Amino acid sequence: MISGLLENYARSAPQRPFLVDAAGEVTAGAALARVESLVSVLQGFKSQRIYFYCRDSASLILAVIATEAAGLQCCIINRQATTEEVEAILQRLGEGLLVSDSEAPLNTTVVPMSSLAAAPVRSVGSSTGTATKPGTIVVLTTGTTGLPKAAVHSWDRLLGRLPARDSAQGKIWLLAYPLNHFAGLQVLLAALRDRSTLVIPGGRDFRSVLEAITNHHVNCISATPTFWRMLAGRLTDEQAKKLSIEQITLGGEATTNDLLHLLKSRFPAATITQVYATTEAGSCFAVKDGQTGFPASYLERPVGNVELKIVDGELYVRSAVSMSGYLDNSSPSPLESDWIKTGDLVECSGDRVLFRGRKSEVINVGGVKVHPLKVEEVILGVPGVAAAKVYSLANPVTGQIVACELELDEGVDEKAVRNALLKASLAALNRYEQPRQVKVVNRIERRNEKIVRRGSA
Amino acid sequence: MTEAALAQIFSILTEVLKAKGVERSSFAPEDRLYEDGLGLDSLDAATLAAMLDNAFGSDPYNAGEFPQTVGEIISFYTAAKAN
Repeated sequence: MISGLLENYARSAPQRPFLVDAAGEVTAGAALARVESLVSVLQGFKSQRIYFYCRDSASLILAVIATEAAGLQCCIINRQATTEEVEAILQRLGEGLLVSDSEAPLNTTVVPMSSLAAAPVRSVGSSTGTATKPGTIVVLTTGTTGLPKAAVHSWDRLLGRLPARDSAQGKIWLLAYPLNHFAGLQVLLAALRDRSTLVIPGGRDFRSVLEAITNHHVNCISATPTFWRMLAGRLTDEQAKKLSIEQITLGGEATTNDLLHLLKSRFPAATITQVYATTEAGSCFAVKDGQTGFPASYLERPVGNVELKIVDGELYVRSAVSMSGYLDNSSPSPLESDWIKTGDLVECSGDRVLFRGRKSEVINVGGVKVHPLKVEEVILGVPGVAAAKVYSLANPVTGQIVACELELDEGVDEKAVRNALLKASLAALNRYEQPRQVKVVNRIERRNEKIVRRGSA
Repeated sequence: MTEAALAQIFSILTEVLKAKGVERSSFAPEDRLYEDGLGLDSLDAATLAAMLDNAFGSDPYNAGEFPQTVGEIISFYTAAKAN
């Protein structure tokens, strides 16, 4: 499947760069040769599942394609995960080989990525089609309280859900998402299918991203609204004019009108596509009319492979090609005939359906889901804090931020508590989870003695 | 802009930096805010926007501007006052 796409790519455009990063470029032909040699190395390990915990995206992509060619299951672990988190994932999901380029000591056998990469390159032309069964990929959800779910997907179903090809082949995409993220896989699949170049930025900061876009003439970018606000907001007119962005894809969180307006004025020649996706159903539909939300007519007929309906203000989807199931059976797998609750609250407004936030109390900070209860636990552990409420606050940069209200114990020094809270957040929470606004109040609003957590966004 | 307002902007910047483990209390208008200067990323910018909004009732980010320097934050409020 995806190795087949690479074969086609290498046959039709062997000299075209497939991967470009700070270290240089890998042409489609060279990528295929590399994948072919990795296949035999991976098969030699006699393991059915390969976990990847890697920073270097280029070698990761080639190794992932090789797992598919070898008929293996691969699971890409977030490279920001701590070694404890990696160990917990391995322990829970079980049996498998861990390939990593991390120096961090792990309490398990690790195959260094460099040793895979050092395998001799076989001559081009030998087929990669040696697998007896199709490879699959395990996508971990971003669960921060409780355990992340591990959804098993088949590669061809993921490909089947890609938005239809809209334009000519040979585009130049920026890889703005990590590959453990659905949207990162979508970009990889689109690049393979459309025989395009993937440019991997040296970092996620503005300067590295702008450098990658400018130096390598990137013309298609798929990223979160937060990424786009940062990029489009910081570009000078002069810098914007030098870019030739043709395709802007937004996903991961709801888009706002002001962002669409900004993007249209910054990149007048670009097509703007908003993708709606869920972990279970994958990419559901894409909206290209430059307005927020989606047309109400989508509720009346199937859109591509999915049907949509609204029940009690919540959006439900039913997909003809959803995931294959959960790896660890921690949750019942949705059946193809099942409607999946998305947790997204929507509202009809004329001929438009608009997103109104999440049903659960999950806070979406720049596309990353934050669970208030986890943050509250940390805050409540700080001496001097009597009660805490964590909620979302609308924010012009990241869509939402984590905010909290505190009730203090009597007689404690507010400044000392604030300092202790800051220290505790830095130590126990990731940057998305850390409260960005802390208010000390006399009494937190309660309903039935439960803290009312709904935020202002 | 009053000296008190200026001091407040600086103290907000100090607090944003402190939240990422950086100690700094003096700033110049030409200081750049992001990785080529104070090192703020999108999350820090989000905090900065929220704190400015709290202190002044408005902030440049919400107004659709994306300040590049400390001076641009200051001039957002001077311009707001002039209007």
